Amino acid sequence: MPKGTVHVIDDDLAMRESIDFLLSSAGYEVRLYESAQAFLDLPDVEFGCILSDVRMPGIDGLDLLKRQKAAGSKLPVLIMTGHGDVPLASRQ
Amino acid sequence: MTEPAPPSTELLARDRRLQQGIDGYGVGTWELNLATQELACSATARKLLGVPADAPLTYDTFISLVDPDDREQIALALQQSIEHGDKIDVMYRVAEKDRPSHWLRARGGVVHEDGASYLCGIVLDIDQQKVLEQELRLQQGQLRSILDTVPDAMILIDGRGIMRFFSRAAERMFGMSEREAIGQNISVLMPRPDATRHDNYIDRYNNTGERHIIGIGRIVTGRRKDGSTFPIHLSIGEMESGGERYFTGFIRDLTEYQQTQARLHELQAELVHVSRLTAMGEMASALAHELNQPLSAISNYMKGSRRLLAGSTDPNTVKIESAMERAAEQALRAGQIIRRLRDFVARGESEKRVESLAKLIEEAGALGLTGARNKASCCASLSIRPMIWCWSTGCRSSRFWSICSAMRWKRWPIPIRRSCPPAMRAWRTTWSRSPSRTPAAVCRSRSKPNCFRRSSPPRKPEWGSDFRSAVRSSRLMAAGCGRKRTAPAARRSASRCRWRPSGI
Repeated sequence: MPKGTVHVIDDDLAMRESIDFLLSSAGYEVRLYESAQAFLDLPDVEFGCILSDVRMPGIDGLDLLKRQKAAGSKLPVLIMTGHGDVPLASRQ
Repeated sequence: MTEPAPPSTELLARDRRLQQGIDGYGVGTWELNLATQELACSATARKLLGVPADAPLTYDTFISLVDPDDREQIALALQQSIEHGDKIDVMYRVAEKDRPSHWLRARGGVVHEDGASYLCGIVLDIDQQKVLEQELRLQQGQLRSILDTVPDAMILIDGRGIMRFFSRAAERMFGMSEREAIGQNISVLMPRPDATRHDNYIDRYNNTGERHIIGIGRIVTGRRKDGSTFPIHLSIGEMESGGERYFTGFIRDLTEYQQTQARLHELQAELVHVSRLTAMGEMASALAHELNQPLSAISNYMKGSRRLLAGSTDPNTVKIESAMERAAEQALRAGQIIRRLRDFVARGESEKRVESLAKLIEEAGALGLTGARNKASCCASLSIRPMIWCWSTGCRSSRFWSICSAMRWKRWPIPIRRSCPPAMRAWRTTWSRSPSRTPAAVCRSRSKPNCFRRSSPPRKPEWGSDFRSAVRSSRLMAAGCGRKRTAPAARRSASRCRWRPSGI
């Protein structure tokens, strides 16, 4: 029984696939998106948490967060980054 | 002159001829009777004084002809002569209504005869001489003034090294007055080893004629009166005057020049060092992001696999689990190494100082454009609102570097990234290099040094580029300047640097 859905948004293929492997091994349902735009283009998405990279071409992670908030979406958003900047992380 | 016997006709004739000679050729004779104050003058004397041939003359009439400034010295000379028997030798001017004043010279002395005393003497016209003398003096004064305005110190020495002339600039440079310097050997202005050798240098040149410094110029050390030494550039020329050989030395104080050069080298070295560090930092950042992706992927696969293995009954399960665990740890460890590298590079950049923005931009501009100005014909005009003091985080050189690099890339179209809202504690803007791709090196560390970004591209290329920067103004300094600032948040300063291509 899947525990829930995770929408993974990252521009790097290796990252997407490895996260897919990790989460599915833990029992989550994983949906992969190449970019935030691809995610937003979908008319409706199943309820689940969003796991997004920060730095991406086009709409970046923080921008996505802003849009979700503006749209009043209830989906929780997790931002992950390889940079580890505290101010950046503490912004939202 | 008393004569023991009445003069013979021959002697009289000779006297007459003598008188004619004297009279005819510009020397006037005069005789002042000290008792009666009557003045007897020869025809020439009368002509020189400008009195008619038959007018009676007394001492007083004579004095009235003399220029008022010269009267006193004549009276004094007369006095001396009468009292002590001194010879009279006075130069004075006589003036007349229709003639300009001209110079005369009177020489004479006291003569006693038959119990009476006379003052007798000659008078000469020295006008031309006097005028020449004055002109010469004027020219000499002018020359001296010109020499005094020469910025280099000038010293003249004779063939033996004794100083003959010491210009005003030399006085200032060596801290020694002309009066003290003249007469001393030039070696007093040199430090120890050169001082003892200088006489030998002159001898060697006198004997061999080989020029080691004459006409060549050299950087040597000079010694001031107080003993301190300083670098100087010395040029020497030689000249001859009146059969004697002289040497002229022109000296320029290089202290300031050398200090400036040293400072320039220091700054350039610092700039190079920092640019290397920054390049390394950027590389590290690029690497960090790029490396993190595969390392995270490895770690994810490891952890996922380990989890999948949990329920397995394979005898090797424990070993495989442990191996995967360790592999994941190693991947994370590799990531840590990168992070530490980035931290190391970012470390020297956390001191805070108050700086004058205008000064900073100007200095960085001068340094950054030193090479550029030669290659590209562009001129930088900075219009900076004065009195802006800013807090700058990051070391000075890195600010320089960012300003300098901003200047170098001014021609390339660079998209504008939004700068962070003012509410941020650590101000920074992002700086993007290529229009197509946003490299990961953009937003690097917490305390990124000040960055300059381009404002909207210029409407016309000849307008050059505008650079804007936002800096955090220093509240302390602003308060000191008497201006009120409200919050210590980052404020946009009005520093605009405009680079215009010129001379196209």
